[in-house]
Amino acid sequence: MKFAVCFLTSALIGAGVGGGGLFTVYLSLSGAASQLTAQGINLLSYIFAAAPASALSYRRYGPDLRLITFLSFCSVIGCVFGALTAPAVTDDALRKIYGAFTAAAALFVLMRRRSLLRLG
Amino acid sequence: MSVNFFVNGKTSSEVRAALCGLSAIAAGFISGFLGAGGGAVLLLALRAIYGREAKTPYAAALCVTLPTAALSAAIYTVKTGLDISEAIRFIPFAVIGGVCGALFMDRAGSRTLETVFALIALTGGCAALLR
Repeated sequence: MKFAVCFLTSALIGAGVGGGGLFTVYLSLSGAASQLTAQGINLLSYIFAAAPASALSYRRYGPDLRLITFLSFCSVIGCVFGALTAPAVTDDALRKIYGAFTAAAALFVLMRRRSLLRLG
Repeated sequence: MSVNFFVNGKTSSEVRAALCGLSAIAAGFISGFLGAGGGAVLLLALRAIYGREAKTPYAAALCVTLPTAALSAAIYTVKTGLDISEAIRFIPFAVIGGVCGALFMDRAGSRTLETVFALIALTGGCAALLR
């Protein structure tokens, strides 16, 4: 089952919809892994799922390489702090923060979708 | 010293660069801390900075999340003792899923997929929050 969920969430990532978060939620809630391990597994699978979509969108849109380099540099700085902070938080608290973030992001997408529909 | 934040109603390039940098740092932190979500935050910020019509944000956000996720995964492996042999078993499914999704992207109704994804994420997020 966990491999099927990995496949489905990876397809969502490849389609540009997102979905990495769902795999973590599944692994954590099903008891297949602790929250921190689930996040690690999700990160690793994300790299391989997003690579085809990145190559495709890079070829299609040809974004500014300088912008990508600059953003990557800044993002890496933030990521080091984030990844070093995560193990300091308890598994339960991390799962709750993760859940709140995922629910908030989903609500945002739904609200935006609703306002777009209203605008026609 | 006066800083010209807006030029003809548009964000000046220096301010835009600073906003992009700060957004990327925040997105990187979320990506490292939660192991996901950084790309979405960066995409949102870049869309706000560049405008919804621009094609740059999506491709840039996607390209930036890859090195960030790779570094996060490396730190997780070292700091949390993540069992790589367990994690590696998921890679073939991730690759096949990613390729299928990328090929499907042109034909899929991305708005419908987005709504379905959001509904599932909302359920999952609430379940994780309340557990």
